[in-house]
Amino acid sequence: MPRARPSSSRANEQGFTLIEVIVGMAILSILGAGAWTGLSAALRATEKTRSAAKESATLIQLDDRFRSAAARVRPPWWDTTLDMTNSSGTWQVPYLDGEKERTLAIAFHDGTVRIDDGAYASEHAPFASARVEAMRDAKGTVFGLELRLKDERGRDVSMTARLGGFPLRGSEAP
Amino acid sequence: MTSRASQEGSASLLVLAGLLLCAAAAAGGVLVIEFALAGERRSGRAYEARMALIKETARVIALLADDETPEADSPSDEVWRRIKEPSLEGAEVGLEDVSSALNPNWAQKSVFEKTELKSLLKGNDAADELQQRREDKGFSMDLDAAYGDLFEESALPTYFTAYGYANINTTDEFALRSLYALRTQDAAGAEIFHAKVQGLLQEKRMLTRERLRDFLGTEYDELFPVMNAEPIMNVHFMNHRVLRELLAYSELKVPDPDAAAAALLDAAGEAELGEEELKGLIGAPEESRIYQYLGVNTWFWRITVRRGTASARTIVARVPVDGGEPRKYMIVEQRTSP
Repeated sequence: MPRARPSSSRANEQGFTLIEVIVGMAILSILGAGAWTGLSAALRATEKTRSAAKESATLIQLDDRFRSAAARVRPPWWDTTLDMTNSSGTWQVPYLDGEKERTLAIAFHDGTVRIDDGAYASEHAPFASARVEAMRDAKGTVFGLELRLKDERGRDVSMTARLGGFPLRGSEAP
Repeated sequence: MTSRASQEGSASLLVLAGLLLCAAAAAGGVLVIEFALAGERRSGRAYEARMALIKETARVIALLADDETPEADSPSDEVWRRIKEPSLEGAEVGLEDVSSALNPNWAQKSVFEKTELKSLLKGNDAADELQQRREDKGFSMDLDAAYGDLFEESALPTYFTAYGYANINTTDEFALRSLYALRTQDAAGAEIFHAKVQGLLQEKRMLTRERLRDFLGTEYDELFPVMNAEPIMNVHFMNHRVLRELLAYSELKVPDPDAAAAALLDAAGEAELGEEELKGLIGAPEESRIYQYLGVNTWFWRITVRRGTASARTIVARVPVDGGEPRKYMIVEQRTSP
């Protein structure tokens, strides 16, 4: 019959006491929780920055498109009657590229602003609301367009763009 | 030993995986931000380039307004020398008189019927058709699309313009009526105005710039400066063929059209002519409408500024003012590219 092995020193070398395991688990838990919190915060911050950057990129693209489209609206220098129409969330501005029959259409539906010049339509989203207004000088002549937006967080954004044509009225230079 | 070692390895792997995840998320975030910033930088650069061109354009307008001889415009004005030295480095500046030509939106059909300018039209009925088309479809900036089929090839870009005021003494009476209705939105008022214009024509009277305000009445602010009584073309810049044909137009009573044309072209080529010198060279009676066609001022200029691939094209209108008042210019059209 072999003799039973002495337990004390072997136990130290080959295994852990219950206390050691508990302390180890506690340390791992604390480290894990810290790491998880840090990682989670980092991911949230990244997501927030990414979302802000995306919003900013959307606004920049919309601003560029809105300005370049408005600049193509050129009423003749003698015609002060330019006025846009609004029907069910679509604003139509005549005199696109100087032609009365061609219109620039700016629409807002389902959170998306759509700018359509007949040849190309761009879509910009998401927005909570949008509307287009004519900018008039002191004599009432339209010289630009204003795009008023509300983003999904309820913040107001306003974009203004000058038209490419400015009808003459009166003798007072602006 | 073995179980501890494997536990330590797992912890390292966990940390490594966590770090990789963090790095991937950060890289993704940076890429998105970089993309957005690149767009913003691109947009900012294009905006700055546009603004630089517009600033140079404003400089040219200021040069036009500061002309030391405001009573006349000619190639000897200081502005022509100054635009060769743009303040914007690497820019190329162009200046062009775009109003010293006939405007098909306003032209009387008799100008075509009673001068050799009729050869610019396609067929004998084209002058009538021009008048009728303006009535039916209104005026147009796109001359080629609106009237291209009525004129001989290349006539429109050579001899005509869409930038030119409607001088009451030289504009077709029906065009004046339409323009009145367009500007005032008052169709009944336009009929009354038309009757007044017909009265002028029947009595063979000319409207002077001094009587313009009274003639236009309460609608003056709506109609001026588009309707006025200023000579429409600048002899320093206008097409020689149109000049000769207008001088030869019998209703304008120029005593010796050929001699007047030769004298005018010689004199205008050498120095800046004033209004009185012009009248002396033409030699027509004071009440002749030739002085409503021919003058020494340019009313619309095209200013072009180019730098690299960017360009700005601007049309500025000079607004007629009473003698002694400073010149006034208004931008009526501006295109920038890209």
